[in-house]
Amino acid sequence: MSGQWRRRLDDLFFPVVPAERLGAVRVFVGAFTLLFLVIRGVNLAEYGSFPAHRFQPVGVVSLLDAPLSAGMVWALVAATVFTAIPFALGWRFRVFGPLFAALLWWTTTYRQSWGMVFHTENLMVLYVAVLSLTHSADAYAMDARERSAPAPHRRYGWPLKLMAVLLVVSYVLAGVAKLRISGWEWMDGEVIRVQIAYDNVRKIELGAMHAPLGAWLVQFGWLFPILGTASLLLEIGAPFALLGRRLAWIWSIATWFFHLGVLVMMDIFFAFPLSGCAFIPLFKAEVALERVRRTRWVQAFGGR
Amino acid sequence: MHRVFGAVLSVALIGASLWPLFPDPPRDSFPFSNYPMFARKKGNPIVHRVVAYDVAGNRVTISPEMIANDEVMQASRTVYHAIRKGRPAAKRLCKETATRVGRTPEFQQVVRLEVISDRFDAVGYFSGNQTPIRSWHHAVCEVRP
Repeated sequence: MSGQWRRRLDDLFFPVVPAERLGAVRVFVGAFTLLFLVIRGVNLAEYGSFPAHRFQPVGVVSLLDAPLSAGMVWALVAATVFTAIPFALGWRFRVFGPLFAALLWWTTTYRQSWGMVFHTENLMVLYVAVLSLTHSADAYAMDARERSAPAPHRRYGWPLKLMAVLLVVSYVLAGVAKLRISGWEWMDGEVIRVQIAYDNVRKIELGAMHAPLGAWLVQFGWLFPILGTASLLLEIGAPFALLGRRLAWIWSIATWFFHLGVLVMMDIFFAFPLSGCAFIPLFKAEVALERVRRTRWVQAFGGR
Repeated sequence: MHRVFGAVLSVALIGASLWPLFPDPPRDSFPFSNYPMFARKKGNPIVHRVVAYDVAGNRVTISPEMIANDEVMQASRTVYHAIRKGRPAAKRLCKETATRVGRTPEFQQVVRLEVISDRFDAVGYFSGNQTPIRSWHHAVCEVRP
């Protein structure tokens, strides 16, 4: 392969980026994950008291023949919460990074192993895995305080590319699933209309919070071909986000509104994309982090 | 060195992410999923639940924690799996729930539980047709304090 082609491929898959960009993604994803664990920690631990006959392991938890004891589940969830702190801070990262990623992978998979597979934490777990195994604590990290700022390097670029591809793949897969299961008919809107009605009926009848706006909109049949077509195009068209920052912005904003639509019409909260963390590998995360650090609120807490 | 590691990790994670596409039928898992949510054309919704009654026969709403945990969808899924396994499993779920309800002061008026499925007209529901089209009773059990 000629040197020119090799450099082009290198720039595509292993771009040179500043350490701060990858470090900032770790800070955002780490902060989100820590908050998630603080809010959901008790819920994750409660799976330890579920009866053994309801156990339907998926993923890595399939290694088990029977569920863990309640004490073990509580201990693992507690360890996950505590290791999230050094991950977010970038402290002793070589140990705590991979340890946290493994614990998070396990505890979130354990949650899925009781007959209901949720689809809200997949990307978060994958991003943490990538960040934990790379040089994401070379900047904006306690480990990096004593060192001089490293020069931009390809080792900071490929993890961002990988996370961006994982993001895009997840949306393409969701689009492919719709086409495989329902075909192009999915775009005529009836599937999504009935889905919204179905979901809201179920929630009302089960006494859960539902989405009044979605329930009200179900009567307007003309709206759903537009929503169906837009949703499917966003999913199938996700790879365009990899073609440049402008397209990444357009796709990310549109996809953010798509998730907002899911929230207001079905009361399903995809927190990771709605927080913006899912899209952050596509952008200059260090610029966003510097803006956050300059806010009055962070300054008040000693941020520099 | 970082190129080799980057290439290996990228191929492994992207390959694993794409893998759920290949089994026929596709299999959902975690964190590698085929993301089947919202893909299937739904019929009229069937709501699987445990309903509670007081001594006068009035319905009492019990919280999802009595069945599984604070997540309503997890509770509903638990009821669904018990019903799918057959009447003995539905009866077992009913008794497990009755034990928890019996220990909860908030639900001391509850004397009986039923594991049921109700089918509703999804779109018609929001035009005022909120009566189930059809109901199935899978198990009944008493609640003892």
